[in-house]
Amino acid sequence: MTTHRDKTMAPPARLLQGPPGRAAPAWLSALLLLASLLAACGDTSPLLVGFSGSLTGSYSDLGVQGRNGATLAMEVLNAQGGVAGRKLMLLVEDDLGTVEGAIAADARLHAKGVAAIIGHMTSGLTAAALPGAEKARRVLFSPSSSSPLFTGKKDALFRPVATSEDEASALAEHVRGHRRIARVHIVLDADNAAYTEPFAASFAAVFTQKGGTVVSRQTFSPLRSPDWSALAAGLDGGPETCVFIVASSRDTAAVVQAARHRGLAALMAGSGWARTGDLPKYGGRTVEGMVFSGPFDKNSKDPDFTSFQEAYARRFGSEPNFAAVYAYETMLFLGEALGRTRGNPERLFDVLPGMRIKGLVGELRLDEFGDIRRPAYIEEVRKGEFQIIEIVNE
Amino acid sequence: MQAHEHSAPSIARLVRRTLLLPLLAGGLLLVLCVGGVQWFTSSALIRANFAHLSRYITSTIHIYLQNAATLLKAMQHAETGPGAFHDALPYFRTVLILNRDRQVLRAEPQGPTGMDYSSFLSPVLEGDNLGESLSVPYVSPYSGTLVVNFSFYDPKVRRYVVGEMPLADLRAQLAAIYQGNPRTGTLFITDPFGNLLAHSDTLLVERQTNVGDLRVLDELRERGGAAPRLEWLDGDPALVLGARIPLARGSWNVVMTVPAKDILGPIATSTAAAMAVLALLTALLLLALRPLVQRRVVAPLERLADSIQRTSWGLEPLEPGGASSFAELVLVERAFAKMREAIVQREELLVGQTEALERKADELEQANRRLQELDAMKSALLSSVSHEMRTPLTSILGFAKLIARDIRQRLLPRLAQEDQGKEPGGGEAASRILGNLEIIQHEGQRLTRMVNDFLDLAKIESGKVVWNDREVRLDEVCRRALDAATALGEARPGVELRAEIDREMPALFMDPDRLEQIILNLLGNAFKFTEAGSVRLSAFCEPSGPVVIEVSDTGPGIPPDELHRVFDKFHQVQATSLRGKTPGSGLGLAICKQIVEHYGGTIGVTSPPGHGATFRVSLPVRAA
Repeated sequence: MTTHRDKTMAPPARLLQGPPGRAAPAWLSALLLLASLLAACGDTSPLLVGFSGSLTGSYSDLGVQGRNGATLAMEVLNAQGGVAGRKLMLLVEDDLGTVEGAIAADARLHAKGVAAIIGHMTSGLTAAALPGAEKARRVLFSPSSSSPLFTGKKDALFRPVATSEDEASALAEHVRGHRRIARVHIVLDADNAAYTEPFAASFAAVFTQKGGTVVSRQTFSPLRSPDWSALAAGLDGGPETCVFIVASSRDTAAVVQAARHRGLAALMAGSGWARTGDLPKYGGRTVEGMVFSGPFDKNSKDPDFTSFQEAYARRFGSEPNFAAVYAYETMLFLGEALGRTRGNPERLFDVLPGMRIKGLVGELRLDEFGDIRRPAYIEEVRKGEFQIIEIVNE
Repeated sequence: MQAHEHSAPSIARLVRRTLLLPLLAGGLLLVLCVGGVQWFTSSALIRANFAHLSRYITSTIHIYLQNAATLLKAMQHAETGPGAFHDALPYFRTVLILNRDRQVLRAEPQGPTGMDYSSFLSPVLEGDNLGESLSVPYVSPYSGTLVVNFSFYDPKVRRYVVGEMPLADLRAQLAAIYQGNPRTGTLFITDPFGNLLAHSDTLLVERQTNVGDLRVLDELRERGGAAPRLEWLDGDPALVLGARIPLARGSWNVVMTVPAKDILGPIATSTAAAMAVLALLTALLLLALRPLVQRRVVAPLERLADSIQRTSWGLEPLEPGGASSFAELVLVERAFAKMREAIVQREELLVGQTEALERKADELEQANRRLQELDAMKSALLSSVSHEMRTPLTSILGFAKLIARDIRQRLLPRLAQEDQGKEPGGGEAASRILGNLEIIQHEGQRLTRMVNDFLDLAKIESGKVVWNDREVRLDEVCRRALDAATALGEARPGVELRAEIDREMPALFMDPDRLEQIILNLLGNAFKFTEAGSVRLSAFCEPSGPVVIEVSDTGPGIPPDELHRVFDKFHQVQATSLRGKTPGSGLGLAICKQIVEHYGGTIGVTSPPGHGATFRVSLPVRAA
């Protein structure tokens, strides 16, 4: 499962960093380069693919796992001989979870000549980075940006994740229809508004259409160390009430911890963004019974999926979340597309629309706009695990 | 000699070319061997250094964790006061007390309680609530920093004590060691999966970088130990060394990477220096050899070359150079001297032979001149004799004719009267005389023709013929010749004369009488040799150009051994059909040949035995 020629972690050069002040002269580098080429024994230069995601900060669960998933897929492709006779090499950048960080990270990757960038992991940063990708005429392939703002547009963005509108609508119908909840408090992350706002709006639209009432709407900024207790103080209600949180897993967990700490008995609901292993990790028992609209069936028995899970755990010592799954599938898409274009990055725009691949769970097909449709899985946290209780749009 | 100098390399260049490669190759091999030894010693040094460092790091981490564990164990009683927490805080950012269900009962120095902490504990603890364990790295919900936790479970009190150890502190431990060893590469610590726990670059740790694809880590996981190996990191080769840090449960790894260029750098420098010295020495050696080669090899060779050149010009060779030549050159010089002696001898022989030949040539030339004179005299004599013979011949023929006329007109009537009278037999005698006179006339005419032929041939051969060339139509000439030959045909009643004359023929530019002479000669010949059958004259134009005249007969033909001689002068074919007949002059065909060749044509004959003969004349079409 692992390949040993390509070192993929980033910033990679620092792994080799020696004591300062001992830089090799240029001619020596040239000699070494020659030696490297000889040792490579005819290998062509690696095909560079960028990864740009949040590796630090509160969104880092998606970034780290997305990078790991893409790495794993790259190692699989390289073990099969690479793409168009060339090995893939992943160059990783940390977008720091900020708009400026995302733009700068992508600019660095484009300057290094990447064929495409896998990223970003949140819709807000993807929206910020998209103009840069279009200017560089390179594909931006986001594993997890599900904002409907990108839907149906002929742009440089491609994504293996379904639009969040479907998820939000399915979740609203479940909460209102099955759970008979009449009141909802909405809490959302303002820093990733590109994702959270449409998601919350879709949820609210369906919920009110079905006769429910939105009693409050609060936003917070994770970058400004939110006061969770103060936020929880604005929530009330018993089992007939729902607190719908659209935020990352750690922030969702923090809101739920604070609410439960205040003795709130309301039903907790969250978005697919928070549906990662970090949620039960950081939420502990307080998130038991919480409902989500999940983007994939974690318990799928598809042999590709189970072998991926095993490989991921063996390689990284933890369970993969949806970001890892989608980033893995993103790399499969890119590998197939780069193979068809013989490594020509500009022709990716021609071959990606309409492309089909075998994903980890069933077949995937990008439509002409680079979007995808997947079923929504309504899940409930039971004993720290996400259990599917309903499948919508299967 | 000069051309040879341009194409072949000079001795100096040959020596350079021959010596340079072995010298450089040998030197390069030596340098590479030295480089290999240097690489081996350098990597051995690095291995030894790493073995020492990894032992040091292992013991340091052990002591560090042991101290931390001791302090943590002291807090297994929840009643422990803040002082105990304070003691543990240098090692742990947060210390938590969990109940049996892993819910947080207490968090120091601060933080909420009640949280379920089970998923942060080590996976090893699943199904094993005893003992101590280390978790994988995670971002602490209490401190917000990347930590690993160190946990103990005490079954007596049924409580967990969990200490969250910031990875930054581990890095500080590593940095302390690292600073003491400034010549090593990059050191880092990973968990069993390759997740970075400590690295000189904090960002790599914070980004939860995983280096699990290093083969050294695979080996450590599978075999507990790993040999140093050259691995490709980010496209660059590096020496990677790894060792396990065995812990109470599981293990960590300490890894060192040394870029190959850092090892190769000094080697490459010394190798380059050695190569430079080698190149310099080679150049110096060649420079030193140059005058020696010039004096000992080139100069004697040039002298020898000059000698050969002089010899080729017929001059005396130079005296041998004498001193300090080499054995092979002495051999060449000796061989050259011998060759020169042989050349001199042969030259002398050649001169003698040439003189003899010249004498012979003079003699031959004189003889030839004499022959030509004789030939001219012969032609003149022949011409003169022939000319002189014509006058008496004409007289003889004239008088024979007069005598015959007188006999017929005057003597025969008188003799006839006498015969009727008393003396018969006078008429018979007169008739006999007439017959003899006819013989004289016939032979005289033949002699005249022969003399004419002689004269004709003599004129042609001496170039005294006047050729009255003009445009002639061959068909017309042929018809005239056929008319003239009719008389010949009448003399041979059993022989039919046939003619096939092509009307569409180009005009020829030649003497029409000579052309007619050729045709008549051939026809006369044919009639002469044909008793019965036919004589055929055909004239036509070949597609390729020449005009062809063919005369064929159905006579006995020409014996094969005589075919090549029929055009010779005075040659007579020995044919049975000629027996009892007057032979020709033997010059007709020779004259034909001379005329045809004068006009650039050819004449030939074919004669299948017993099937007659065919004479073929080809005449080129010439413009006026």
